Amino acid sequence: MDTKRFDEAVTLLPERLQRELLFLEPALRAGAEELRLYCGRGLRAVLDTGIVPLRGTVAREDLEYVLERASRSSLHAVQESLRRGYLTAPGGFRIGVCGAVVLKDGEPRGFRQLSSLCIRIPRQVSCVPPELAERLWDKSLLILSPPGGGKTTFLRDLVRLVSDRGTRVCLVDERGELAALAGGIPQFDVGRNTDVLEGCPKAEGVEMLLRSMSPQVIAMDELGAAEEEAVYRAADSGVSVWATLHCASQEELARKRFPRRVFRQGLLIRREAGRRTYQEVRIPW
Amino acid sequence: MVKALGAALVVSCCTLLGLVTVGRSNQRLRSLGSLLAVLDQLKAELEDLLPPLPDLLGSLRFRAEQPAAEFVSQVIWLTEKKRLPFQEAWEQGVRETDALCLRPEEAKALSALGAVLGRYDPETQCAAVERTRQRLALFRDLEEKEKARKNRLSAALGAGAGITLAILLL
Repeated sequence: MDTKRFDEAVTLLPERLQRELLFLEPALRAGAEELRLYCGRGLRAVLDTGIVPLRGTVAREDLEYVLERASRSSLHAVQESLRRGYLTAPGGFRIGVCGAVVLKDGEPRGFRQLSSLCIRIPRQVSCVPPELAERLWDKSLLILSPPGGGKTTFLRDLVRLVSDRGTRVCLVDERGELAALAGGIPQFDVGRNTDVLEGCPKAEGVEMLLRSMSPQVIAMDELGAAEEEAVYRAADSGVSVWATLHCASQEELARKRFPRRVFRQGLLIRREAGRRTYQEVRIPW
Repeated sequence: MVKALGAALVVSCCTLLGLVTVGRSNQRLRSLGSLLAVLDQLKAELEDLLPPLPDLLGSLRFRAEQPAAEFVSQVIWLTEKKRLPFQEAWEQGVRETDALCLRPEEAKALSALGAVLGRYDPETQCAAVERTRQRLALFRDLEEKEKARKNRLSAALGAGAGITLAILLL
């Protein structure tokens, strides 16, 4: 049972809470997808079976401690992401932040008070069947699932597989979750021939990569409207684009806005009885 | 002969005492100068690159002159090995790095910066670094003037006291 990622996430917490969590049963530590801290209300672990309350109380100072550890005592270095409600801790742990927001000119600037944190625990999982990678590597692909469905994990593994077979893959890792660079070295295995652009908005990142890195594939997480033009330019340059998108069904996909001319192939990830299934879907134009 | 040697020894000791006082002043000037250089680099990096503080200090440690380099190393050790919050590590570093030879008001000015670094936006942090830099520069200027004054006075007094004693002994 691989509890390593959970144990790494726990090191972000104050020692008092670490002591409570490191003695949890291995099955829970191996299965936890998120750790949630609620000011005045305690800790929770999120597993694929549901939410499990944990021992320990959470004070405001505990949340501030986590933020200081996660930002490496450098809020200035994470202010852009904090304005969007999250930061990524070393090791690729995305931490969602909630509390009383400070606004300036109507835009969020940061947090005056913290009320809860959600620490997402990413894992490296070999989940892509090699034959699927073989079929899809040279096509643009949309990876679909509801939140927490495993899109990011799948994308990371697909990038690794295809990169290792000799394809030049470029990763626009806006939130630092896919590769989790530390000192320039990816902490996740994203393949031998993968270039990583971390912390860059996806639209600008795609442009930079097209100009300078001669990619065969550009991969990104959480496709949005801001990336539409850049995705079209990439496809028009002959580059395959892989992206993830929140979506639970083909019916929902029909209502979503995304560059349909580029993405004709999709992969819908479903979770049923604790297992994930992968369904290839054709995307009508 | 013995009296002459004794007199020479007394003159040398008194002159040396004067020079030691001047030497201490030089040490403080070197310390303040090295701190000012570190603050300049800190501000430049915060303005341009927004690096996380551990990376910034890690790089400053190798570029800084002593004794500021020792101070930076101490802060890094306190944050990484003792896992102290940054502000606490900075303040403790100021207190515990004896080689800085700071006077209380100088230590207070440098310590206060620890409450700002890493906690606010880059502009606020740079403004705080600049204020600290200006205060330490002022202390350095005062120390230089004091040194110039003591330089002449201490050497003269030292030699004068020694010669007087020598005459009395002889």
